[in-house]
Amino acid sequence: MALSDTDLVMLAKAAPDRAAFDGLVRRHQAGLRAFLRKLGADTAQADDLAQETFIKALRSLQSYRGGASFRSWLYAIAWREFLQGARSERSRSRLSEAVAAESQDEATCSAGDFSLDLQRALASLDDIERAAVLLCDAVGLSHGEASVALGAPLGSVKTYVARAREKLRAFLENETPLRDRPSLVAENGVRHAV
Amino acid sequence: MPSDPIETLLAENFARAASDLEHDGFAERTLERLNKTLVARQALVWITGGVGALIAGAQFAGMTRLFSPFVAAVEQTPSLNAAASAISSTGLAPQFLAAGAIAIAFAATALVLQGDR
Repeated sequence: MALSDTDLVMLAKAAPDRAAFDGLVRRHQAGLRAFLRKLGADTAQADDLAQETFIKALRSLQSYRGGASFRSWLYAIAWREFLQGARSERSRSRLSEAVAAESQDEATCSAGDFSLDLQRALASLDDIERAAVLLCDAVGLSHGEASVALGAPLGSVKTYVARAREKLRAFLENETPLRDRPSLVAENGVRHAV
Repeated sequence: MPSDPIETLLAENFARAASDLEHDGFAERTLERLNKTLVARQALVWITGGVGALIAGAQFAGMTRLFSPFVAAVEQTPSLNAAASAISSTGLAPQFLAAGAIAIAFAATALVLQGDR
């Protein structure tokens, strides 16, 4: 049976060989990098930020008291790293450039188009709205955990998420009606694969 | 289970993106970097401790000379005399023991400062 994050954190605090922390890195690296990329970091920048996040997490692991989930604590570090490393204007312009470049490469791929539409829609959001909706709807954190990760009040996070969903819906409906998107809930409640 | 189509859209898109990143060697590169960071940190701690010990050792010859007038008083005070005997029984010079204690204090301070960064 796989150990929980809490178990691994306890072992990582106690064990000098770092094997438990390695387990945490392996478990969370993909999601963390995907989150940073969706926030607007390019590939190399997302990897750098993720590495910095893990280094800082290792250094301050002893100060993690377990009040919040390890995942929300880790994403909080990543969010701060992102804010420090990629301020909104630069990040947004990079994202637009990346999206434009990808558009040319994937012009004939419908799944790619769909993904790019979503990237453009995400790029149209404020940083905090984008982070909130990604943490809650994509990463799967609760509103409370996202509140910890973003360092924002719970009520504000709920507002950010609701506002971001509305903006995304409006943006995507302008591009193509949502019902034509892949993998959405159909009228009979059955989900269709792409 | 996501109920909002946007939530479904984001969850599926994110799961695909994360899945693509699962086995691309990033974890190994990160763990290697963490190892290097750890080694550098330990080296720093040892160097700081060593420098502390050198500084402390250099100070103690002069300091013990300053204390020599009180040695007679120590011998007449039972509790201090017992402590002095305990130190003597280790077979190590008091200067060496004190330098070691200060070195440990330096190393511990360096460790804590590193951890808090």
